[in-house]
Amino acid sequence: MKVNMIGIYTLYVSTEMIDFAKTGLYRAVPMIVYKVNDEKPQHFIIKRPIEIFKENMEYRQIRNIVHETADPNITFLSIPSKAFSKMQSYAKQNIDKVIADMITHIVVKLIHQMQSEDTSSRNVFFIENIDSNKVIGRLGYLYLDSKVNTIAFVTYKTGGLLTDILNGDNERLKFDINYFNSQEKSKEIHSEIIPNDYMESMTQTVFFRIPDTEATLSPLRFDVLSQGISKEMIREKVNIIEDILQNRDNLTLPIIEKSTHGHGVNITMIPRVLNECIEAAEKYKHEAQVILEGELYG
Amino acid sequence: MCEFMIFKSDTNTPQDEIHYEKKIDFFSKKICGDYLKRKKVLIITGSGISSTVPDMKEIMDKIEQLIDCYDDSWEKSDVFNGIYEDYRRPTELEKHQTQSRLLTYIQNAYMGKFQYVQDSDIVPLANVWRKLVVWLLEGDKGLLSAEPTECHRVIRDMYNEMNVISLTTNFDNLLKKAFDKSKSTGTERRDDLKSESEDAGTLHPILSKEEFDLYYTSEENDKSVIEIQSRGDVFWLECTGEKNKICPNKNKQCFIPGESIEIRDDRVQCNLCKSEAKVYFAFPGTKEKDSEMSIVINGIWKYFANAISCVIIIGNSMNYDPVIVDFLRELLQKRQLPVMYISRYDRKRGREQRNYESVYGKRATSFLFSNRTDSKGIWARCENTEMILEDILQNFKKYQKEDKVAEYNKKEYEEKASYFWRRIDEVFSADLNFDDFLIDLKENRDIEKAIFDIDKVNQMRHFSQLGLKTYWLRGKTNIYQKHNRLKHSVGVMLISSYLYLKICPKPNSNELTFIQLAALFHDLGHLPFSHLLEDVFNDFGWISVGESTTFNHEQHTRRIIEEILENNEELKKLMNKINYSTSELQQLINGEYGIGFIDALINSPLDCDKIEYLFSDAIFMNRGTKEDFIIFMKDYVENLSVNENNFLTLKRSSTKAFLKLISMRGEMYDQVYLRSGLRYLEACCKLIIRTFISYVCTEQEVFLLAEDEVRFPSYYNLSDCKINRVVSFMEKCTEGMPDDEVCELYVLKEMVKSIESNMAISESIKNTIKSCMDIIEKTKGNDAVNKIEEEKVLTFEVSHNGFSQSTLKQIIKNVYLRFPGIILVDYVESKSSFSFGNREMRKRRSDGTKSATENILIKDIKQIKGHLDPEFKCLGDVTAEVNKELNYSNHNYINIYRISDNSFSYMQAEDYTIHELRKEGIIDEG
Repeated sequence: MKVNMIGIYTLYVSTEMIDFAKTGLYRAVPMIVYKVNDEKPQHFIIKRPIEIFKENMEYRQIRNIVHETADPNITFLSIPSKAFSKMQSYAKQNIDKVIADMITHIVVKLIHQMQSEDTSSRNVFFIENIDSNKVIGRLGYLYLDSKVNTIAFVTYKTGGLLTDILNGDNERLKFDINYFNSQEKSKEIHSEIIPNDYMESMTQTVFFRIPDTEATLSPLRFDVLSQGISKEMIREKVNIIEDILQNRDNLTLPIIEKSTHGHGVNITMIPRVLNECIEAAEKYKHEAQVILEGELYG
Repeated sequence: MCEFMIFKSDTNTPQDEIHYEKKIDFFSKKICGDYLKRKKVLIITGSGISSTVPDMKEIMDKIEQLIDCYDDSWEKSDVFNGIYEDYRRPTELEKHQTQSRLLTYIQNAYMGKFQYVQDSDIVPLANVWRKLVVWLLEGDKGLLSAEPTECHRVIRDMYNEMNVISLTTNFDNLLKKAFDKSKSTGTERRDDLKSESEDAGTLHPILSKEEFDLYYTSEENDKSVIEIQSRGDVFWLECTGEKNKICPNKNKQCFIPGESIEIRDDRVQCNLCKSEAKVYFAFPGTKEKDSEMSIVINGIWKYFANAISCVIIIGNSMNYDPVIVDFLRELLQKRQLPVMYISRYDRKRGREQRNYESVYGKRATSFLFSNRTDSKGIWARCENTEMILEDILQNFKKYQKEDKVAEYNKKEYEEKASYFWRRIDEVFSADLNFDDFLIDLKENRDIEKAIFDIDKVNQMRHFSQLGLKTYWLRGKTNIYQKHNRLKHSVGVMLISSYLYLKICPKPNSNELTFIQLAALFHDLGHLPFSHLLEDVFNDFGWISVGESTTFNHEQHTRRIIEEILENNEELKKLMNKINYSTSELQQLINGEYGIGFIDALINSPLDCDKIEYLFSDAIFMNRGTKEDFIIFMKDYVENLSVNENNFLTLKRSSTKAFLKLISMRGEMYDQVYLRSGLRYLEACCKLIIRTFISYVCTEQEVFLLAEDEVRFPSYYNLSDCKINRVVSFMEKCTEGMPDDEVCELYVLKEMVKSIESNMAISESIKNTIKSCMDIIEKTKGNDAVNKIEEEKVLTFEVSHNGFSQSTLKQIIKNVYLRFPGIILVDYVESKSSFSFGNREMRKRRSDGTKSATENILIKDIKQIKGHLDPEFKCLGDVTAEVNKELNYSNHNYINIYRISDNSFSYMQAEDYTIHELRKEGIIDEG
């Protein structure tokens, strides 16, 4: 059985405060970089920026955008920094929506492409975690074939791991990342599914320990799309991911992430397909910049 | 020269003169055109028109003088000194605030609110206020003897010539004096103005919600007119009742001057019981003033805001009235009305001193001129501002003579009404050949042929009026095809034409055609599945740029009308001929045209749309007959009329017919619209549609649309592109559909085909969708629907304890996503909430108001013999009364639909759903 590995990375470039003050416009260009197996990374971009606000926009339109009845006179718009932050936060919601739409487009397109090449193949998507439920909702409405497709949102940065988010000052969670780290590192057990009622959630969180040799590598977190599937099927999906990552060729060189608490650095490795998307993104980012600046000053 | 500024002066250059005349001409012509359409001019006046009474500056000067000259016995407290010093040396920003603080302090001493005043200040300040009041009433420019100015006279003449309503911030009541004067001395009016003073009605000042309601809910108003006075600046009197405890003026706020008081020995007293009367007012900048002003403005929105054709502001800087500014801002956003701002210029300051910044630069007035699509704001300046009003009036009269619309005479409109009645009779006949009927209709000269020759209109015949409900319940394709949206729209057109001719006081052919257009076009935006599709758009939360609600057929209707009127030359000519604009047509379709009875015919809780579809649905569903309809119409028309405010009024048999209609609607809700078996089938349709749309919206085409700046000038997410993609699919699908197909079934089959061939979709969902399609196609007849209800539907009554709608929405979405193709949850609202056509919950406006528009008056809801209601009420205010009369209870339901055949999965999903609903208190335990 052939397993296709797909990496998806999203990013956006947007107007800086100084441009906004000059033009009265907040613009953003979202972009997706993706890669299938050993193919060259590709990118997907809409060649027109999302435009959130422009001067002389109708009052009604602005009010719809900012959803603010408490400040009907929109006086905040006269102060650029306030207007900028207002527009930026509203823009973020819209950028999330557009990125979610772009991801579903790429996912569906790639599934068609790969299924038409080989109907027996299986697809594993590694999507760099984005902090928006929009993409999960949109993927949910697609009812993708879960036997064929495994979608995993990958978190590797310390800030995105459960420990820092939930541990806080409270009692340590039984199944947080520290607990996972403190367990005896048996070579056979590389992953642990964090128990939850799978019906409550559209995703199932899994911690994964990189099979390390010398250095101590931080674990990864995968949120696996688990719509309508049983616990056994989730285990199967985790096994597929484990199988892929057991092979060191499918992982990259260590990613070094500075710890947020100043306790040294966290080192980890991530799926190679995803890492190559991240690296290629820098190159493509320029194109987004050109679109953004072309619109601003062109 | 500034485009929006005009100048009237004897030193005008010829160029100035042409510019002035052009603008005044445009404005007057617009007023005249709208006058023929029964629209109103709103005149907002301020202290600038009342030069015969003291203005705020003079009042403050007098107060200062009274304080400064008070005898030495007054030892001013530190508190007062602080307040007074602040007032005398304010910064520009604090000016109104400090003035207001001083006045409040003095007035508190006078009104006996001693807790807010230092002891040493009480007596002197009360005396200061007493003297001020006497001066204000009887001084050199005393209110009691003040004469109306020339401006008041011109406004009075405007009242007599055109439909005018004045909104004033003045407390002088001089306009009323101008009216009274012209009534008492018929000769007082100038010769060049048409003297109709004997016929002119009385002017009533409206100061409160109660007065608004009284005026607008009267069946007849004896030609009286109103002036709306904002509470803030108005003087009020309260009799202390010290000499007569039962004096009617005691503790009652009475409007003065002159009507409730008299002055004896520098003492103001009640003219009924001679007790001391206290006189007070609320000044600019106080909260009290603004909140009470909002109540008055609420009345404008409720009763006539949509009927305003243009606004004239005169003698009002707008600096002190933020509520009026916000009201105007809202009004101008909603409707692009022309505004004329008239202000005085000071000759001494020079001809060129136009003080551009004083109006355009400040927040209170800049919105009148900027950001308006077709430069409809005019700033007119003159030394004597009334001369500009005079010019408008003279121009109006000139155009009025030229632009008369031929009204039908009685014989004519009776003939026409009986023609439409015959046609209505035919359209409800079961064996009607609709195509022949249409051909006959086109021959009639009272219906413009051009309106039928539009592709979009003819395409409506593809869409079933009741979606697939007719197919499921009656199971006969031919009935299904006869009951379509074109036939419905033609029916609405005929009923509205008939009712218009029957009830309109002065019907004319232009208005008739306008109503017919709105009636025929009102459903143009319906796509296959109509409301079902809108629910899906709502679930996805797709809102178009510039809209405040998710995509619906009203928005689509608006777009189609714009498109038709832009491209169809015949229709363009017709609109020019009848002198109505595209936006007016759209306003009427939305029920916001402003002329009450016309809106009531086209879009209201008892519009012709409801009358047609209820009877038509009942007949096609085999639950009623043509005779029921004929009896209904006869009863309905019998006591139906239009009052002087253009409101539709119902009493006795008409009210009875209305209740019958609502009760009939309730039955249709029970048996058809909300029937759980049919909703189950609709839920299956939605599952197919939602899955299909989700995939359509991942197509490359959607992203390419986002790059099209011409079609989507504003773009901040992909909602518009996705809506466009779905609408194009629907339109394309119906265009290529064979004639003998059932439209909705055909569209569904196309969707299922596309889903089945999609390699990304899970096989189990494909199977579910296939079985859904099977049941949709095979369910025919009442028994089949009953079977579904028995086997596949679980119903729970919703708890009365209250819950959050968003939580419920979230649960429904969760179940949909987490149990794909296994179970669906549906929330069914009580029929009582639909009985009046769910009144839209309005957001609070920026002027602090929140009210729906009213245009129907009703009485005699409780029909006990010999005890009919004496008073009319607005229809929107009697919802509870009608529900009680019809015994409608407020029960909402949750339906759980079993989709999957797999018992284990279903049980698991059902347990989860019920548990979640109980946990959130949406359904009760047990």
